[in-house]
Amino acid sequence: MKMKIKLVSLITMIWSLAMIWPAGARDVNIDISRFESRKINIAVADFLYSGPDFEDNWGGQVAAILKNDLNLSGYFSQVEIGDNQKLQKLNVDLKELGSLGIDALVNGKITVTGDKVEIECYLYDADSQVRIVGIRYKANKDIFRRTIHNFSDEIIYRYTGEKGIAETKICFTGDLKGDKEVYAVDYDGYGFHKITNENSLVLLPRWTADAKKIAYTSYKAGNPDLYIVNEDGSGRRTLSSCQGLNSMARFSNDGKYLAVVLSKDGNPDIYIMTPAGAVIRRLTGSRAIDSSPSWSPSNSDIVFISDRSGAPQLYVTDSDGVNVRRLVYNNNYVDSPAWSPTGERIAYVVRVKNEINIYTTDVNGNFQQQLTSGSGRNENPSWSPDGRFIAFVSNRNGKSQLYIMNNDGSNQRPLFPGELADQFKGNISTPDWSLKQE
Amino acid sequence: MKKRLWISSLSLLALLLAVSACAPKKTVAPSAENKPAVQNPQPAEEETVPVESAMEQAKIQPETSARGMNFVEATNMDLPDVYFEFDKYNLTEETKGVLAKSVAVLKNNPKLIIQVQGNCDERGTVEYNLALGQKRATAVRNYLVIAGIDSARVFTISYGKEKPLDPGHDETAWAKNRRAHFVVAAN
Repeated sequence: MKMKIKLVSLITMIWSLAMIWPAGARDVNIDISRFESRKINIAVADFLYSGPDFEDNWGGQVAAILKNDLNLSGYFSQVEIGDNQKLQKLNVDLKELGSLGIDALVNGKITVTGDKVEIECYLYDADSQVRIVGIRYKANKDIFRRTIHNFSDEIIYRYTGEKGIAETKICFTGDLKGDKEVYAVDYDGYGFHKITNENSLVLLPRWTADAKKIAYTSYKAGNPDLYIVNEDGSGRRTLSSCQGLNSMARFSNDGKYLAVVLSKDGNPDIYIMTPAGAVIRRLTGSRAIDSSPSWSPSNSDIVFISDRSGAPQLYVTDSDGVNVRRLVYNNNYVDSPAWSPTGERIAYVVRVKNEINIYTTDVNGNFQQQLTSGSGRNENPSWSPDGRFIAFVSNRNGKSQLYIMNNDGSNQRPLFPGELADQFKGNISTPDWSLKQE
Repeated sequence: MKKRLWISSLSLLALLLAVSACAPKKTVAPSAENKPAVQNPQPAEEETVPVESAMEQAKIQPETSARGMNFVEATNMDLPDVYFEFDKYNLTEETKGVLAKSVAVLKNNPKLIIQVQGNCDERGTVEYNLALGQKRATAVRNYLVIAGIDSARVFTISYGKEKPLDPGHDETAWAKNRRAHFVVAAN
């Protein structure tokens, strides 16, 4: 497979950036077929540094963020070169890379002035002996990490053709002092912050399709109402305040609608609403519980659970409410369905006795796979936007914490890195993984 | 195609008029909420849910908004909690016997307005328990209304598994937490 590198890339971001193009080259093709059966050996040099705070090791920080992103992606293996001065140079001699076992090299330069950073990032391919891409970012220090994540995704895109997930976030509820509030964290466990200040019970936060807002249920006004708030906690407004439940909101992937559970007509049912809060139709009409909707990526179908046959089970309906079919025949208790962003599979949980485990199934209900086992409660699976990972909560080590795993259940690990393992003292529930903010 | 056009013009209308669903003084076109754009789907399987008779159902009016009302613990009235079986929201004969006390209190205090709080034990999921707590509260409300209490006097709320009475993790605690609890409007 050959991948063509486009010279003009329309990226709009909140910081200014400039593409720096390899001199002479107008189009670069790199052969990525050689990486279909093995990982890409990448070397990330500590960035050169210019500025006052030498003790902050800015150049090393940039490299550390890039290396972590590339490791988490699962596509790369690291060739450690540290502060190899030859490879740090911006006019690096690419002929040496092959003999060092390096497929790709990243280096660059960071300049710090006051609260601003300017970062030049370069990616070189050893096989074709070219600089594939160079980007100069100018950003405020407070979005330093996100800026580096953007270049990580650029590297991943150039070598895999896949959109990376390094700029995505996960929101969830956390309990402290008896209240629950919405919090969010970057996909790598850094950037943890509190979003709501309801001083109340808050449940089931869900990102909007553009990843800029979060809808959640709060009991602040004495009823479980649905609110929406900007990612920074500003702009809170009521989305739905029907008597009874206003909860389990899920935005369609085009952002035009949300599926939500209301009990205003006397029974928990799924309704379709506009982002302005107008109910446009009732999707389910059984006298049983119908809840937990999740849209297919094309928005043509919705998976949900219903206890119309006894215990809660998975069903799928066309998003106009017709053609309801049961998905999985399982005598146990099933809930929390999440349709993968790539469309092929649906994750859900099954309760057996006091254990809850995460499963996936294909969309016809034929091929189920159990992803967790023998580790207490494993709940609320949420897919990464590329469909390769699943975030979930587990109480396997006592309190309920945020975990991540590959979509086949391998490599289960806490989402917060070791040094940040205790950054939140409470229990975490119901994670929701954002799409990439455009 | 025609249907699709209708749906989109309907949604546009709703978009123009609505601030949020069920907001006070809402101005959503009545047709937008009352007429589903598409017929409600038929259940895929036979339902096993208890169903009130048609005559009984006629008495049960949907709840109006309880917004702005302040519900407090009933200190001098006998409104005992009622309990549910694991994963169930139907009322047992025993439960109905206990609810008879609350019916008497409501009949003797005709101005009393109450809220039924539906609760669940910790074993299920956040989502299903939220719905289950609502079903439990609604089952109690329906029973009270069928027993002759005015629909307008009984509100419901679900706390799912979020407000356990007993923080324990055993059968005794779970049984206590699968309950409907009554609070009364303070005026």
